[in-house]
Amino acid sequence: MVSFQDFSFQYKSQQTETLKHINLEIYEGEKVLILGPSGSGKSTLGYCINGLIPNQYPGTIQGSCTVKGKDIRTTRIFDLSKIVGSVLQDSDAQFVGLNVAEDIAFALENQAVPREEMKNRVHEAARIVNLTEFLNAFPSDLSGGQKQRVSVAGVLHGAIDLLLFDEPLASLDPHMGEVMIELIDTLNKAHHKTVVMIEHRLEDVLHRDVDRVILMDKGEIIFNGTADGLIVSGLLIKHGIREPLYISAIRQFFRGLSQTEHLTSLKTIDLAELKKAPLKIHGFKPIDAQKKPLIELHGIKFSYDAPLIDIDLLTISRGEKISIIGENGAGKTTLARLLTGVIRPQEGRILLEGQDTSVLSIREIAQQIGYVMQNPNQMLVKSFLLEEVSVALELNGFSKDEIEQKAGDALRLAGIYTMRNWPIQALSYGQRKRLTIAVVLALNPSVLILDEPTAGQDYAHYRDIMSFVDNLNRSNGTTILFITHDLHLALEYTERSIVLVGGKVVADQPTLEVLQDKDLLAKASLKETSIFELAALLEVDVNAFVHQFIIHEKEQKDE
Amino acid sequence: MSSRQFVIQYVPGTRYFQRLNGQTKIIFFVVGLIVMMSTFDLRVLIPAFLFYFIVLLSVKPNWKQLKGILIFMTLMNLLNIVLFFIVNPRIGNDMTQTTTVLFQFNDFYVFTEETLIYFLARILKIFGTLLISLWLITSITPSELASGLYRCKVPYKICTVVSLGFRYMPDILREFRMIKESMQMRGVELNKKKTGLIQRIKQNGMILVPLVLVSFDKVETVASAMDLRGYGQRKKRTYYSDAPAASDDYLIRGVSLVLLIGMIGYFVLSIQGKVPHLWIP
Repeated sequence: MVSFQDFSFQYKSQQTETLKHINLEIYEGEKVLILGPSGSGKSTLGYCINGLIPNQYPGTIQGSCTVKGKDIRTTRIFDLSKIVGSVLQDSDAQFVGLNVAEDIAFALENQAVPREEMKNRVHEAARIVNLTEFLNAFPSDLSGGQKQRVSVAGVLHGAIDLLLFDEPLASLDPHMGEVMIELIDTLNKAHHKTVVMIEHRLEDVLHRDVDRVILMDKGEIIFNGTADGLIVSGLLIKHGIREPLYISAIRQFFRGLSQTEHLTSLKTIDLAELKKAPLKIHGFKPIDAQKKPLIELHGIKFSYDAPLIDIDLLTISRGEKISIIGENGAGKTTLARLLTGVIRPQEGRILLEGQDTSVLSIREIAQQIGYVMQNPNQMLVKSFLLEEVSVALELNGFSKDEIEQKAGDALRLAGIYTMRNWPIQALSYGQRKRLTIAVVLALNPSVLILDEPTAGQDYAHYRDIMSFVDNLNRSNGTTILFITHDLHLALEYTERSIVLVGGKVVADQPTLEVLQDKDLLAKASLKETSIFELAALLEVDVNAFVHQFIIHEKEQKDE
Repeated sequence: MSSRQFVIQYVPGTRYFQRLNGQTKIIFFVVGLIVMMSTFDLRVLIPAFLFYFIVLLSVKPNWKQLKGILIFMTLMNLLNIVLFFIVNPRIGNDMTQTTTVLFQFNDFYVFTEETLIYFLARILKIFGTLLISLWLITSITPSELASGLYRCKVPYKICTVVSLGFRYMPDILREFRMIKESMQMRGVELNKKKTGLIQRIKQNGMILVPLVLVSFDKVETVASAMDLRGYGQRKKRTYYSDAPAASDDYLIRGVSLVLLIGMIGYFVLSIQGKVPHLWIP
């Protein structure tokens, strides 16, 4: 179906080759996962398959790449689009229709298909992705998962042979991610489409079997084989990909992995064998510290132009690390906007160190509560790092010397002081994220809210950002609030979790407890992580097991 | 959620003048503009004004949303007329070559019946145009507009620009809001009472930089997404939203045609000098 032979590619704007001597065959009917950290060239490989290279991104091609026998160098993107259907990462931007039906119809409109026939084909495509009831819905009414499914429907028409998914899970919560993976599996098995998935979230993809996994790093193929083979090889961690949690746990508690097959699902792991081995778990003592309340919410109600918020009482203390978890649209970000004062509650009071924030301006609140947005590009307005960090200080009327001092400190804390004179354009996504944290830290707030701090980042960057924030909490006593739907992140880095469902707090408990409460997780459309499943199957003390696993993981990272 | 707060309709309306298809609405709109713009004759303007007023009322627009624009247009028009009067108080008389003085301030500033009628006609023309435009805005969905324009032989690339503009406007407004909020948290004061105009313009400029950059990223993805689905591959294209014309559509197109022929006839007569440029009762 797809064949790369000694294929190299260099973007016009780049100094070095992004893909180096790739040899790869993808066969008809296969389901292939292309795995790799950011900057590994995995997306570029995808662009070669769907024809964006060289049609949209020019550059130098060496060797050959053919898709269903067609050389990509001489084939128009339109002709390739009849063979390859592509679903891009940004589910918002690729939604070009004004509503669901029009977006699904877009490809048919371009082929000038008569309207009556088009209607039938749109209904058919909508039925496959299970969106028949949403045909008249607008993009703003849909969840990320639904938009992603609209995009799938939009490329399903006609004789598409291959479906290409570029990070399909990037903006989905775990539950929607599962639905997506199941849909992709159905398309492969029942509709006989060849599937190529580009992802770095291995465990989530393995929710359904894949035929082959290709691991890429630095523009080269590191591994090409079965998922089992890849897991056994131990290459994942080395190349910045997170192993399935249960695999890491087995390695840790049982001194390595003895099983070499059927590793892609916890259900097929031979636990009987493992249970025979002695398992050493230290006792676990939960920490219980009395702390001074820093933020208090009393009878907060908000409902306008955003998900509804209805919170009776919520207290956040100095130095705490808290996760705010819930599915997309549960009101997590709205709660953060209320805390920062950019929107104000219609009822109730928010107290900050005992003072009612309704009398404070956004700027005054921001000196106490810093908010780091999900997309760093929305926060960066200047050309150079130092300038960027200085903006807030200038606006808050600090003297020149103070600005230099404070901006320097913030950049040093974020570990990017040496780059202070760099242009922001030269920074990678992860570095920009760091910069936005430095921007917020410049005002020395006592609370830091991070909105999806790890979204769209591979495991190496994830660890990088999270241990930085963790250190900040330890050394400066900064209160940290994470807004996330990554339950393992919540577990690793926070002691307490606030679970939101439809704008209401349905749980406010130690994270360990929240993650074991299956009913609660179901209510919040969240998904238990495999580490808990493993502990339950091994019939050991879940708290101690999980706790020890996390401590060990963190120690490994610090090394 | 945000898409419902605009004056622009994203959901098709259910009233008679909203149920027409895109092409009919565009024809009706264009003929309305021609009627309103091509004459100063009150015998034409008054009935036409009333007609389009009823059309607008029939779709029951949300006046709250339109209040701002109505107040703005009224003030601009009054100002406009005052300025006209100051510059040339005999503007009506220049058109009719007659003078009926109603009131005299001094040698230059006289108030004549002709000028009064001229101003009345002017107000009717502008508000009539406004009524038709408001009807169109509150009755056409961006999809109908795009498919309607295409039916009216506008090249489809232009139609796409129109519909993409409407599609991404809420997204861009949302981006703008988020960037604005992030800047406010850093200390940008956008409150009118607390900061001067120059400062405010400067600070709004700061928001535009990331907005443009974020939007450019988006444009690239949009272009890729369109290419990957075969956009621009053929000379012709069809529209999903292109509803076939119903009997009501033919009726309204007929009415529009009659109006258009009437106006052409009127125009011919006025070229021949059989009707005056400005009709005085």
